[in-house]
Amino acid sequence: MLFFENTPILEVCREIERTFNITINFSKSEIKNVKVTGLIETNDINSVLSSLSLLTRQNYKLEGEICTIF
Amino acid sequence: MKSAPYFNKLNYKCYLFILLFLIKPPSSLAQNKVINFNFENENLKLVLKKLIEDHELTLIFPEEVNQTIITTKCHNCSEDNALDSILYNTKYTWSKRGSQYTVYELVFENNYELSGQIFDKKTGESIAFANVYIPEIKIGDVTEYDGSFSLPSINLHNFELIISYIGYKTEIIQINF
Repeated sequence: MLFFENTPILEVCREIERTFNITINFSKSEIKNVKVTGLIETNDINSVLSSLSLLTRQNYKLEGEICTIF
Repeated sequence: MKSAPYFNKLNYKCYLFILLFLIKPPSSLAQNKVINFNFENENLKLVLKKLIEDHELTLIFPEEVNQTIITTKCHNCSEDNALDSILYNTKYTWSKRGSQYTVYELVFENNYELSGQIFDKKTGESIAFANVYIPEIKIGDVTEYDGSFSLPSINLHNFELIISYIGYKTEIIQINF
């Protein structure tokens, strides 16, 4: 589990990239600064990415080891 | 008051029973993650953090929830009921995937931003740190040094706007358009 406090999404994504060994790309750079607080369960990559897409109000697709949030 | 001793004698055994009964449930309640709370005019961020800390809820939310104040209570709630109750009447909703909860902003179409400036009627001086609040959706702002405020993503067309500041009469304005 990962805990974040007032953390920019970009930083959250870096942690998630390390945890799941993937790369996360954003199509809109302004959403990188959306700040979040809370606890992330790191059992399932799709639950995590779905959570990130809701928080940024974007969609996501995971192809192999590359995730795009668009 | 005179009947009190009689009352005590009669119910003495009953009280013992009730006490034993009350001691038992908490352990089983804890296992089912039963949630109880009573928050009055509390910051939404603090409430959500408390859910994480007290009930180990895997919950993530946008930092901007700290601009929302809520009043809510829940007795013997499940996690889902607790979130429903907390987010009721706010601009947020929640979703669960696996064991991960996410609180996020509901975006309605035709949302708009309400902005303005607060001045002293007599002197025309702008008023900083005045509270501007829409009770119906529990969204508010505090004015900047130039008296300006902005309330983003509002989807109401008829509502009351409350403006308050220490030492001034509170203004309640009905807005319709």
